[in-house]
Amino acid sequence: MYLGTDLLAAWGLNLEFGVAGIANLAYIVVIAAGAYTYAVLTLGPTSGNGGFQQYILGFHLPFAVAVVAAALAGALVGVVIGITGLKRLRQDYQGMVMLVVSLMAATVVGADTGLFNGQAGLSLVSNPFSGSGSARGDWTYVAVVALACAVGFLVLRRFTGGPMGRTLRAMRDDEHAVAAIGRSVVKLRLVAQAVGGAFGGVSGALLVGFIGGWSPSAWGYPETLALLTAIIVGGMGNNVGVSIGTFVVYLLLLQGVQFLPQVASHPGLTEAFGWIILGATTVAFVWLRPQGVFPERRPRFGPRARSGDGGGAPSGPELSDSVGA
Amino acid sequence: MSLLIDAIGFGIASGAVLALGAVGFTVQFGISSILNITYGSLMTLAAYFGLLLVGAGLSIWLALAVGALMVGLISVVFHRVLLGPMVKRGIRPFGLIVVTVACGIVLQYIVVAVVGPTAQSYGNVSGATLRFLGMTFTTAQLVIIAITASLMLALHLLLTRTKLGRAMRATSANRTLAQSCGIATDRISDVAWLISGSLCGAAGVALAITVATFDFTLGSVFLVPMIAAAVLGGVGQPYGAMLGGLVVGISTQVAGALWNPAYQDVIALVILIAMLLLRPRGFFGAAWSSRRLLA
Amino acid sequence: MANALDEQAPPSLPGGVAVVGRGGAGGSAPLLRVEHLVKHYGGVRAVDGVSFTVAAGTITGLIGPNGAGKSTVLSVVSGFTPPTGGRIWFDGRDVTGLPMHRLARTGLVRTFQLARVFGGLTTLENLLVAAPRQRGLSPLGVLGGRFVWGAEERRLVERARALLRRFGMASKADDYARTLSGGQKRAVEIMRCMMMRPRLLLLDEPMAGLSPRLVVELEQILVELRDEGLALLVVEHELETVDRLCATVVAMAHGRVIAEGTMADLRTRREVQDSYVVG
Ligand SMILES: Nc1ncnc2c1ncn2[C@@H]1O[C@H](COP(=O)(O)OP(=O)(O)OP(=O)(O)O)[C@@H](O)[C@H]1O
Ligand SMILES: [Mg+2]
Repeated sequence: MYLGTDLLAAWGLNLEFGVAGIANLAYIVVIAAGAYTYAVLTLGPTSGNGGFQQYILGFHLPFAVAVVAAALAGALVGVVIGITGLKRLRQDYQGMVMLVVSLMAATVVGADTGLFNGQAGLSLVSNPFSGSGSARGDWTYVAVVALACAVGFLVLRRFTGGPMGRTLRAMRDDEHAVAAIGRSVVKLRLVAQAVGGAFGGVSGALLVGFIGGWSPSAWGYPETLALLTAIIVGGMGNNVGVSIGTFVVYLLLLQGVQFLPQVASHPGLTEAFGWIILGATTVAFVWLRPQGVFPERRPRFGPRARSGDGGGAPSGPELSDSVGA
Repeated sequence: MSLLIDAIGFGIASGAVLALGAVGFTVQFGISSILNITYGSLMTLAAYFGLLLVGAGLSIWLALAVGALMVGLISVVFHRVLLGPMVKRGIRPFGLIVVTVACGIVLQYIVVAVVGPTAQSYGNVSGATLRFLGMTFTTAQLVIIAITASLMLALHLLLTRTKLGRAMRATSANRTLAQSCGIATDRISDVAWLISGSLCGAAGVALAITVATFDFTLGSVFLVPMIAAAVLGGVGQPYGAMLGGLVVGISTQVAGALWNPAYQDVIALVILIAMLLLRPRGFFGAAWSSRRLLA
Repeated sequence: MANALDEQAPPSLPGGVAVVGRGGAGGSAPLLRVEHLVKHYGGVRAVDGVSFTVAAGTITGLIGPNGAGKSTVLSVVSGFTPPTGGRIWFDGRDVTGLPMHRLARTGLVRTFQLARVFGGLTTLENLLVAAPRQRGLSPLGVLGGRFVWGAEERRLVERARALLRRFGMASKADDYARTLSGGQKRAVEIMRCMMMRPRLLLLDEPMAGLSPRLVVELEQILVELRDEGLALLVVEHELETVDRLCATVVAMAHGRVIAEGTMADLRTRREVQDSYVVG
């Protein structure tokens, strides 16, 4: 279940960062946008719960409609974030702008109680399938998430493969040269961020539908880092690699540590270990294997003219300039 | 009206801490072109060192000095062992930012693992309150303002009056050129990271003194207004960062007092975003800029 | 590459230059007209009131000492940076200030002084990505997948392979472009431009760093392209090459045009000799 929503998010971010080369450190914001959209659309009107929490809308809409709306919200927020990144700044500066955008969004949402119930967050979002008994409802939900992942993967492949994927990867390598071959960098970046945002939105919606609540404290930049780690470990630009990377990062590092023995005197110790291992893994991979475990696959077209593969150079995208040069 | 004047006073106090942190951040970036996000967690670390030292019976101001020095040394090692070699290996700026974010998280959760996630405090160290030009300051705030002012003066003298300072400025302006002029740029880097790391540590302890209680997120929360201050003054420009710290400190406090305290941080963020998008070279950019931030 | 001519496959030439529409080769209106072009970088007057024209179906040379402002002229004409002043007409249309990607779509295409290839793409992909108006980039094409763009893609691959053979780089088709040598990258950049079926090609020092043999071969290819109807504006330091290729030559110094004419003509001019030690 969590793996499913994490996969969707990692794929979306991989499209933006791994394929299109956009340094999006605000990705968690589109997930939050999806989550909040889903929550306020499926919850009943505010007055119905005796003023226990305050929020806008409250339409009691059905599950499917709310998920689609969440995808749209994610796409829209993705585009807005994308616009702040359009300025031709150095990539790390752009990353910083995004980081700040993400902190700003969290602060605004936390400060404004009328919008999404402020710092306390929204809760009591009901599982749409729990009518048929709790356990069965949960399984139905897992099936729905699995279906969403399957559809998502097909859509993702449309964007990362073929002429579109090729053009996005070209932009990752050199934005000026992409403009020189007659493609609008602005348009390409926004397309990538809209599609990536839609993935994040759906991921957030499905997550909140399952766990029932969402609050600003649930999204800091560590969460975006976790997704980035999954991508860097798995292999930037490689969908299957990123999926495996997500699996490893989430199950082994963030969930797996829960099976470590608990130390009573230290609450939060295991969680802390999870983050420490995660951070260390990121650093290790950037240092030792920037192309990831499963590097981007080299596209080939039809019968090869001759074996011109002598170069033996590794992989596609990199965080480093020197490897393979 | 008195509300406004009080807010300005508080703004000056928090601006002093901001300036301390922002100058360190900006010197680091100026020397090595790395946006070091770990900086925030290093401030946290300093605050916890301070806690340890105060617990051991040191006076709070001595703890500030020692904590600052320790974080300064850690910063040198951090740059020597990790960031420097990564730059030499050709890791791209974005890869570096990911690494510094990751290291920041590691450090932050090491603190959690060792000390635990609960809030901490130095106890009552703020001292008697004093009134001055209609503004109210605690003794601790005044000491911090004095420390900031004297450190800034010392840095100014170092940069302008000594051979070392000139070498630092030369390295900051053009590393390769400085190297070919016979400046030992690696050594200069070490010195710069020691100085900036110490400023970072001092800011961390000072921040922990000014807030009532703190936990492991202390520095990473403070990072945003601090980066805002650095960017406002033009990243890589120490004097700009000093001024930027004051501007951000006062404007956020005033906005918080006149409008909505919850939006205090939002003001800093708005300043930062506006600066990044409109004047990425800082407010005094045209005159002072030496680093290329535009691709 | 030695047999570049043999490798041509009429009737559809692999280089595929769109036949000149309005004006026609040797016609009256020039394909490109630049008037009083000015470009300042801060206080530097990189280009300071430059005017010249490029006729359709010709090769025009742009020469001058280092820092004369030649690359800057190309950058401004191609829309890479906006001009500080002056006007640019392409094919009878005022295109001043249009961004580079819009100009590239109308057939005005440039290369860079330092060849820019997509390092993470293979050589073949570098060519494919440049093909104009791909169906695979439309919303329908992206979602429809191969059903929509499969046939088009096969045609593009054929064209790209033909180009690679013409430039003698067929064996490099599946190599990552960042593993290529400097000269090979330059060739990839020129082939990539050819995929776009341009009408005017701006080349910034295409011969720099090529071996003498490759220079001769590239010259031959450029002449063939001209004969197919393409117009070229070539920045070049090697005056022998300029002499062989260019009907008209524009000489610049200090951001201004100091002389214009045939190469033989320019060699005799005093101003040119003074600012540029003509070999
Ligand atoms: N981006 C820029 N910013 C500031 N000045 C620039 C920039 N680009 C070029 N210049 C300046 O403009 C002038 C002309 O440069 P340009 O590159 O056009 O010369 P060039 O004729 O192509 O020289 P070369 O033969 O060496 O390539 C030079 O003095 C250069 O320093
Ligand atoms: Mg040039």
